[in-house]
Amino acid sequence: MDHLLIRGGLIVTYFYEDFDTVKIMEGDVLIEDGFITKIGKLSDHAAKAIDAHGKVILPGFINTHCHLLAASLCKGLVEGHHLYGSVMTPKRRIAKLVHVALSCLSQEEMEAVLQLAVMECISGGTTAVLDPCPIPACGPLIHLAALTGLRTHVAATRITDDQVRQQKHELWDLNESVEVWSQHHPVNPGGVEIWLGHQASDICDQTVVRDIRDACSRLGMRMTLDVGQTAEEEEEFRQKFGVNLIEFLSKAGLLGPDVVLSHCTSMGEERSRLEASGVHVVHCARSAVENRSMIPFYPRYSAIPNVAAGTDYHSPGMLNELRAIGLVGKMNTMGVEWTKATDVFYAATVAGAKALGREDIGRVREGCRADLILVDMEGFRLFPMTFPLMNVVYDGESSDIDTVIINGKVIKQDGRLLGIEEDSIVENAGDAIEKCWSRARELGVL
Amino acid sequence: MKHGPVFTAKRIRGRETNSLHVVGEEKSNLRAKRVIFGQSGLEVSQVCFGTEHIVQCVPAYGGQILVDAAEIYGVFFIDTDMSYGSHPQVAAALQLRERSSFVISTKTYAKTEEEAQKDLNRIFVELNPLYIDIVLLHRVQSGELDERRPALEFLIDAKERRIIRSIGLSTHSPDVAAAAASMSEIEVVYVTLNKDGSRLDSGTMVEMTQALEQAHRNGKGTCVIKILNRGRLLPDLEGSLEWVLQYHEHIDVYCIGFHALWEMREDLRIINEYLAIR
Repeated sequence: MDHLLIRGGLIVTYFYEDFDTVKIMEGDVLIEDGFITKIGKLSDHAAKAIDAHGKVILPGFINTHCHLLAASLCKGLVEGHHLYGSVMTPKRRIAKLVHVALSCLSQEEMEAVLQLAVMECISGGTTAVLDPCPIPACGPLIHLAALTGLRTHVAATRITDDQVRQQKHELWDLNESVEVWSQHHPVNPGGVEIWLGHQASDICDQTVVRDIRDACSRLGMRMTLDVGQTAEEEEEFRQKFGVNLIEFLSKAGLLGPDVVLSHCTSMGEERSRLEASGVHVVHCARSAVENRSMIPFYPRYSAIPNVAAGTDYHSPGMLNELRAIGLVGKMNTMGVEWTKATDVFYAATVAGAKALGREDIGRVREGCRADLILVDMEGFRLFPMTFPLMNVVYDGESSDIDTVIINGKVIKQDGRLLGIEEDSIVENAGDAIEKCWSRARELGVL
Repeated sequence: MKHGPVFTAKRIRGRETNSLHVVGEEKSNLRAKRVIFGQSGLEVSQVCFGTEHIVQCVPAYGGQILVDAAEIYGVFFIDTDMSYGSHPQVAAALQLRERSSFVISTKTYAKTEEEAQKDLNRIFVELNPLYIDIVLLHRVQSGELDERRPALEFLIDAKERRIIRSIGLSTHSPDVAAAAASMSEIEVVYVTLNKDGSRLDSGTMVEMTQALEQAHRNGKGTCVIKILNRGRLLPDLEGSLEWVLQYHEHIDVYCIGFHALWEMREDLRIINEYLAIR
């Protein structure tokens, strides 16, 4: 049996979730065979130990909506102001670039690009992700997940390109997605999970969404949909169908607790429908602001529907996203209470786990998987520690994350990823990205 | 390096002490009065520190807030609850000062004797308090009093064994408050009272004020809770406190949740100014 003792940290946990308070205690965490088995004063326990004095022990972050391939490919290329005077929103620019990548990169090259994002995830304290991943990139991502241990929920997804959009009909081959599931399910229960997804639910033929829903019900899968990322998309759907997308999905019975919706521009007006369905919603503040969609963030006091957090196409460092949610949430109250650091933290942990349908992650609790991060609170940036979640959410950086543990395995320690040659990852990714960008320049995409 | 929280607390202590100079002239308005808490006979501060909002801070920092509340502002009556998660902060305060520096009330949701024993054991493990001043049967619902009788019997026994000093009841239901007003075993009653009529499990605020009056008339220590509706009434702090204060003749203690001392200062000023002219 593998034992690991985390000794002498400040543990932030949710022992009693029926009360909406954060619980903080000083103590030790014992990990056995990938699970948290004891929390308390365990200093005499004979086990390999990590010293957590001066550190806060948190559950690993759950990024419930990210595009890891796009995040690496588009870094530094897309900014929200392109929205003005142009029909090309950041989202569509990104989709075009991803299409170029899918058409010109080999599986190995895609894996090299993805590895950049995966390492950024882990280094930044993310221990589980949900990626609506383009079908050709699913294989490389699943391989990386097995290699690194990052808990990866891969939603096999067809990305809509402009050509398809102009035809106003998605050329969707559901069998391609189901094939991903057939090949990889179950690869590693609890480690990799295959979902179905769609990134253009609001502009595609709605029979597609029904087909995905049917396939999920038939195969026992969960699904995730991008809905209403921009006001323009909302309006486009409304003009086509006479209702907004949430209303359409709700009336068609396509929502449920096994469905995760990203963005939801119309969440404010459609909250009661969302509540009734039990569907989960992912808030991505940076992309919302970039697309000028002030989507309300509902704190956990009123967390019906359950609201998780995601980085969308931005860099997958969750602390950047959490800070954005915390700050934007204060500007954008829309009748909702001010967003607090604890609300944001909840969205990135417990709410994320709920969205993934998992009770075994997102918490520092006995019986849960040992997906933990240790944040160094004694550096210049985070000292002095008072309300630690405020310290972490508003001021934390990936470099403050000293240790990352996934499923009981230490992946990052003393601020360094273990067994990883960072230079070689960057070099390989750089070669592949340059190949993609070069092709994109030829095609006029860049 | 020393553990962060402990080191931090020392630094914060220095900062809060400096604040005395800031409040110097109005100091008399910023100290809670001492009152006898009804049949419990306990001397408590008229304002009670609700600890639900300090659960998110480092225990040592929270403990220091509680110490400063007692020493600078005279708010030495602390309300905690194991489900709030504030036991670590209260325990830290108890480590910093003599046990007699504070009056502590905490709660049990127990119905059975076994559940009450389990809760009390946990309270003593987590707080290490020598004794507990007040244990409440917490949030008793309409029609639930009989069901919770075994837990009450256990508390009566614990009081006889001098583990706890007083027994109380908290409720968000006027009919329960009215019933408790006539129960000899219950010495203090905590009831919901606020301007917007929120946080009631049943009945109306008018019925609650009647039950409060009855309890006070019968000699119970009375404490009002949820008076700012968990912060939702903060935009009208003065109006909300003054609405509750109109019933001051029937109220011994005002329990308010704080997450920092500056919040307490404002509330103390309003309460003391209101009561000074009546």
